[in-house]
This record gives sequence, C-alpha cells and structure tokens, in this order.
Amino acid sequence: MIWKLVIGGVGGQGVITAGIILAETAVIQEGRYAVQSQTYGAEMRGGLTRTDVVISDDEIIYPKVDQTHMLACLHRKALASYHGLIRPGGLLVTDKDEAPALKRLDCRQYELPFAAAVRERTGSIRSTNLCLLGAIVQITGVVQMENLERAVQARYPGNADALQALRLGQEIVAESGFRTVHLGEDARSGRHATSARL
Amino acid sequence: MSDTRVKKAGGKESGVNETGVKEAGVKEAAPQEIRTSPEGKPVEYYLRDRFMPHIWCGGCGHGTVLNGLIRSVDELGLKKREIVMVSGIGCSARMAGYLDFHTLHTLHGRALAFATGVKLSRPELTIICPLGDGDALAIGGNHFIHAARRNIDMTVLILNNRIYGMTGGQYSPLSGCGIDASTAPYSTIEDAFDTVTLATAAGATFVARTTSFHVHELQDTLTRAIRHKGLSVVEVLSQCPTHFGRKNGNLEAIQMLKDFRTGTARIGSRQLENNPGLIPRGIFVEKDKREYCDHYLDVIERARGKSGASR
Amino acid sequence: MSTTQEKKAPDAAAPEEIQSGKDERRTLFIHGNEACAEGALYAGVSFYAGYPITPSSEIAEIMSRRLPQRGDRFIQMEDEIASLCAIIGASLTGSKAMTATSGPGFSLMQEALGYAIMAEIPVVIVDVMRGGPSTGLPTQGSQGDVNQVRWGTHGDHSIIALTASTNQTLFETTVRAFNLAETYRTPVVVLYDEMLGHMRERVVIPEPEELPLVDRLRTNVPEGVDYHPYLTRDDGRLPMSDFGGVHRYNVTGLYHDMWGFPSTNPQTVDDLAHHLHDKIELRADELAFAREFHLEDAEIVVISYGSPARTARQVVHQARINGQRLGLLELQTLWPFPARMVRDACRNARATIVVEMNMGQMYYHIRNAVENPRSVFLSNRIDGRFISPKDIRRVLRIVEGQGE
Repeated sequence: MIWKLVIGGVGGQGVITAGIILAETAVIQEGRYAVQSQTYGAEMRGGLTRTDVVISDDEIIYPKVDQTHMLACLHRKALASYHGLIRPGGLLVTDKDEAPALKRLDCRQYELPFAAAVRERTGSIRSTNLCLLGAIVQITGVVQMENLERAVQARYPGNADALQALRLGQEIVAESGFRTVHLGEDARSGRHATSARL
Repeated sequence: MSDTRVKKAGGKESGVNETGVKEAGVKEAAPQEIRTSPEGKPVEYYLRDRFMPHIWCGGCGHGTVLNGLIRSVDELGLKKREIVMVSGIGCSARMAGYLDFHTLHTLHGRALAFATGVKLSRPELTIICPLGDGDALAIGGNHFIHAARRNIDMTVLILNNRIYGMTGGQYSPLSGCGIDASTAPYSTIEDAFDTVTLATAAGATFVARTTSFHVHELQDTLTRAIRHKGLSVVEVLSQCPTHFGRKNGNLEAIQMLKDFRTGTARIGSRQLENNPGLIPRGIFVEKDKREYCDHYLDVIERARGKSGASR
Repeated sequence: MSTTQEKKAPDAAAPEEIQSGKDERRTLFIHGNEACAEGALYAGVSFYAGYPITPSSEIAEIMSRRLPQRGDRFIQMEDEIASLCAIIGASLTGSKAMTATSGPGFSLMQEALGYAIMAEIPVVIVDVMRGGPSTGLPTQGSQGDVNQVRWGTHGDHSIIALTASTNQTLFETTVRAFNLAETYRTPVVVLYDEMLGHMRERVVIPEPEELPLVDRLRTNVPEGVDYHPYLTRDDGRLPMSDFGGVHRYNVTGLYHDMWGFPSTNPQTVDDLAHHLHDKIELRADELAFAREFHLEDAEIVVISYGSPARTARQVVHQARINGQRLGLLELQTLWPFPARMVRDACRNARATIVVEMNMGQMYYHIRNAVENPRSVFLSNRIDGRFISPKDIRRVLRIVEGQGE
C-alpha cells in the first residue's frame, strides 16, 4: 500500500516537523519506506508551508504528492491554497477555528479544535502540530500509534508535553465519534481502498 | 645568532602538535638537510637555479627583498621542508618559485586563502606569503583582512612598489593620489591604503614596515615576523623603476632607494618627531594573542566532549 | 519488475544488498544534504572549508559538528572563492578535502576550479542547484548548472561531474566522487538539486569497508632522489607527495613541466593540455555510471538524471503497467558526457525524451550523441516547481501524435 499525505499551514506552526516525525516513524520504527519533502513560501515566518509525505511498504519512486489521500491544515490560507490536492473521496482534517472546513469539497471532513484543546491542556499552542499528528494517525492508521509515540519520545526525550499533545489528538478524534478510515492505494494497480468502499 | 635557532616560531621542533591530535608525519632531519646553509652561502643553498635567471627588471627592489628573506630563514635555522611559500600573481609572486621550499604559486589575490588551507591542515608548517600591493590589497583585500582577523600563523610579506608591474604599470590601491600610471594618464585621484593601519585594525598581531634600502632592518624584521606566532604583516617598500619610476619623474633605481632613505624614519626616532611627514618604519604591533590553529584545538576538545557524552 | 536492472559501479552496493543487511548498518531518515555529508564522512573527508548558501548550508553545519569530533578541520571562509582555495591548499598537504555551495557560490569558484584542474589537485565540490541565473530561486530546485560545471572555468579542460536521484545513491555517489578525485588527481563535482537536498528518505549507511575507498597514491621515491610531481606513470596515474614531506616541488596554475616549473615551451604546453583533457575524456566509458530501467525492449527511451529521474521512472513504471514499452536511462555521470552509453540506449528506440529541469542543457548533448537527432524531445520545467508525471506525459502524448 502507498499513502500520500499533505500537511499545510504557515511558517512557525511546525507542520514540516509533523511531516518529518510521521515519515520517520514509518522508516525508523516500522522499517517501511517514506519520503518527506516541503515547499516554502517566500517568507520564512508567516508564509505558506506545505509538507508532502509518502509512506509505502515498497521503494518510493516519485517523491511528491500531486493528489493526496489526506490533507491536514492548520491555517485557512493553507486550506485555500491546497484543497485542490485532495483526491475525490479523500480526507480533510482541519483545525476548527484556524481553518474551518469547506463543505463543498468532495471528501470526508474532520473539523476538530486542535489549537484550542492544546492551549487548554498545556497553556500554550506550541504543540498543536503534534496534536494534529496524533489525530491523523488515529484517523488513518497510517502508522502504529505506539510507534509514533516512540518516535516522538526519541525526538523530544523527557518532554511530557509532546507526548501529551499526541495523545490529546488521539482523544479528540475518539470523542468526536469519527471512525478510522482505510485509505491508501495499491502501488501496482493504482486502485484505492477508499474508492472500493465509498 | 645561534640563540635564535632554538626559539623557532611556535617552538615545534618535532612536528607533533601539542595535543598530538594530528601527527605531523615529518621525519627527523635527513643528513643533507642541515639547519643552515653550508659554507655560509645561503643564497646559493636556498635558490632553485633551475628558475634562474629571474624575471625581475634591472633595478627592481624585489631581488633585495628575496635576499633578505633567504638570510632571515637561514638565521632562523628552518629546514627547507618545513617552509611552504604561497604566492599569488604578479612580480612579487614569482619569489615563491625561486626558493627551494614547498612552493605554491596560486591565483591573483587568493594566496592567503590557499595558505589558510595548508596551515590549518598541517599547523606545524611555517607559511610565508610574498604578495604584491595589488595582489594583497586590491583583489586580495578581503582575504587579507580575514586572515588578519583570524590571527592564523603565517607571515604576509607585502612588496609595495605602488604599481602593477607585471601587467604594464597600472595604478594600485597603494599608488596614492597624484600618481601617473598607464591607467591614470591624468594622474590618480584615489588615496592609498595605509597598510599598517589596515592590518592593525583587521587584527594582525605583528605589523611592520621597512624598505628595500634598509637591508639589515629588513632581515631582522622578517626574522621577528616569521618567529612571531600569529599573523604577521611586513610591508616592504620596494622600487619599480621600470613602471613607477619612469612614469613619475623618470626616477631611476638609485634615486628611488635614496628616497626610501630620506623619505622614511624609524618610529620613535627624533627624525620622525621633527619630520612627521616622513613615512614611519619599524615594528608597529607585536602582541601575544591565541593563534587560530592552536585555538582550533579547543574546538576539537569541545566537540569530543559533546560526542563522548552522546555516544 | 524483473526487467529493472541497475548498472552497478564497482564501488556501489546494490540497494537489495543494503536492505537485507543487518547489525552494523545504520538506517537513517535523512535529507539529501545529510546523505551527501554522511557519504563524505564515510569516504574519509578530513578538511572542509565553505561559505553558507541556501540550499547547501546544512552540509557545512554537519561538517562543523562532525569533523572536530574526529580531530579534523572545519573552517568557514570569507567567501566561496576562499573556500575552494583553502581546500586545494589542504589537499596538497594530504587531506581529503571538500566544499559545498550552490549556483552563485559555484560561479565564484570557477577560477579556483580551473586551478585545481591545471595543478591536478584532488578535491570534491558539491553544488546543490537552485534556480538561476543570479540570486534566482534560492529555495527551489533547478538543474541549471549542468553546463556551468562543464565550461564554467576558462580554457580547454575536462571535468568529472556526478549526480544522483535518491538519498541512498547520493551517499554512494559522494563516496565515488572522493574515489575518482583521488584516482585521477582532479576536482570532482557532485551535482544535485534543492529538491533532493531537502527531501528526507531512508538511507542505510554501509558498514565500514563495505564500499571500497581509494586512498591517495603517494610516491615511493625516497628522499634525496628526484620526484617528478607531474610525470605520468605508465598506468596513467601521478603519485603525489604531501606538502611538508621530503619532496619539495612547485605547484602553479601556469603551464608547467614534469617538475611543476612554469613553461611556455609549445611541446610542454601541448602535452599538458592533452593530458588534462585525455585523462578524463578517454575514460568516458569507464566513468559512465548510470541506472537502467526496462531499456531492453523500449520503444521510447526516457533519459533523465537527478531528482527529475524519479518522475521519469514513475512515468515509465506506470507505462509498463499499461503495456507501453518505455524505458529509462538515468545518468549518474554527467561529465565526461557518456556519449556511447546514450547512443547505445537510444539505438533501437522510436523516440527519446530527455527530462530535465532546465532549458535543455543535457538535451543538446544527447541530440548530438544519438544516430537520429530528430527523434529526441525535451520535457522540462524551469519555474521552480518539481517536474510531475503529468508534465512528462504531455510530451509523451505529443511524441505519439496524440496532441496535448
């Protein structure tokens, strides 16, 4: 199976870090293949930021994502720019306050209060990216949650907030009543798990 | 002057640096490499006769400077293979090839950058860089100030004849205002750098000026400069009768040398005090400061401390 | 697919071997610049001088951390000119030396690059390409420096330039660059684009000694016996002697004789010019590293290099699934230009599509190499965006007479 994911936001929100951790989990913790790349806007801070993550059980040839199984956005500017990447029937995960979902899009939409929940739990919105990451993994199962936790612990040793933010993302999804969706496509046939189900 | 020989620059006789981080790989002196020239004929001993005759014009001051340098190296008791001469492009740069050391004749202006690589890679070597005024301070000005700022142990010899000789007498950043040159047929309108002030401001820890007329002073100054651990700058006023002299009052070599005698005075001398318009000669700066390659050993130590902890 | 094969260089481990390895090998998740730095460290780099420039600065940052840990030297110079000059100086004392930069910095290095070629001093220069000319697109990829690498410095000369499309092959390519620099006493350029430089993927670091390393060939002429630094041995190699060692000789950017002494003797000049050219150009076949995918029965051959080769390979992969006979020649050596390899690959093809992120810098060389130049087409992208399968398929449709 091959997974293609895009996370968007603005500079400083940590979306690239989230992409790196997700891909790193697949490679280091699970022995799979992953490619992570990024595009920046002109400015280092406050500009549009996007990270592409491709995860697969086999070698990945083309590294970018032209059509994504899942788009996650932490900022409305990113959603406005990148919503066209979502494959019909794909998945959109957005921050309820920062990037309200676009109902007209043909995709499953998860609109959740990541930043607000993180602020309430930790007193700062710094770990919102990890909260989003926890939610993405809870929703998609693209990597195993315990492996993601291991990757986060390896990257931020002794940082309880990081792990907490991750689990918060998981909780938010569980409480919302959304079910886990099976996405991804067969690398050889190009057939999609979702298109078969939907 | 045998007492100077044991106090060689850096005090590294064995070729192994203080921490033994990188072995120098220099073996003990071979029998034929004696520490001074045999039979007191240093010029023949150090010159590569394959390169003779040299390219310098009759009356040029550069040969005198080369002579002074040879005598200085001989006096210091340095082995030929401990010395690397790194030069750029120009009349002065040819000096490197004439000497029987490791010689690196590089690009115009870039000698100090090449020399930095040689020195940092093999800190036990003695580096001498003969540069021209244009080579050192026009095209190579940036490398010059940064080498001085780093205080890396090398001797920068600036042979200042105030003109680009090899290319036919164009004006240089040390020509000064009111000079005729092949690219200044109506005289220059640019002031010259003061090499001493520039080198001092950039951080050189040994700064001196002398001339090709004052040959004993030249030799002594070079000896002290090479022995100094850190970046040494020695500006030597050297005459170019072919280009500078001919275009500026038809001066001949003898007259230009006489002008060095009468137009300069030692710092601290009564002569200079009474005639502040004279060009001061002497050692302007000579101070102790941590040398770059030596200081780099701290970086290695800190890096090893850190990597040791994470291993 | 069974028809996929990799043309292996003697010093490159096949990916499947690497993946099946265990124990000593480290699996890392790193970006291209890290893979390049890891390759250099594996090859034994002991001196780095550089100047910060996007998108290559991570290499300098890694070297500044790692080299002192090994007791080796890192220095940040005042500009790129000084950086290349410094590593040439360091190499002369026996260090394996490298620098890394991007287009504007590489432009500044051209004079010293010519010096290293002329004086035959081994160094490795990494150029992480960004959009140009001038400041161009600092954070976006391009392959605009391909011809600058070949002809950026003045005068007749030759050069070795290598590239890669994955972080694993970039690691191996960097090791190979050091090996070739030492073998042929010449600067070697490792050329890749920003996309690869900043893209993270899995890299398995081989065990020590798993990839062969070439150490410098030093002279065994004893002290007191004449050593000729520029006298070629029968096997074409020129043993070196480190500055600071027992042999004293002259190194110059002027035309020079076997002693390193400047010369304007027409015979000496002619001999040296031919030597510098021939030592690389006559070995073009030997130095032609590439990966081949489905070329055996390909009706349309795609030729690409660097990260765009991944897009090309994706298109070929998909085409094969659909029953179209496409093949890919992924060049890993750009210079000396692998003319024979290109000609052979295209011999039986109906058409050739060159995929690159510039205005056809390799395309023209490929046209010159093949038997039917009119069958060669260019699929490119120069706007800073990474070339997509759609871009290539559009050209493919035109070639097939199916319109856009």
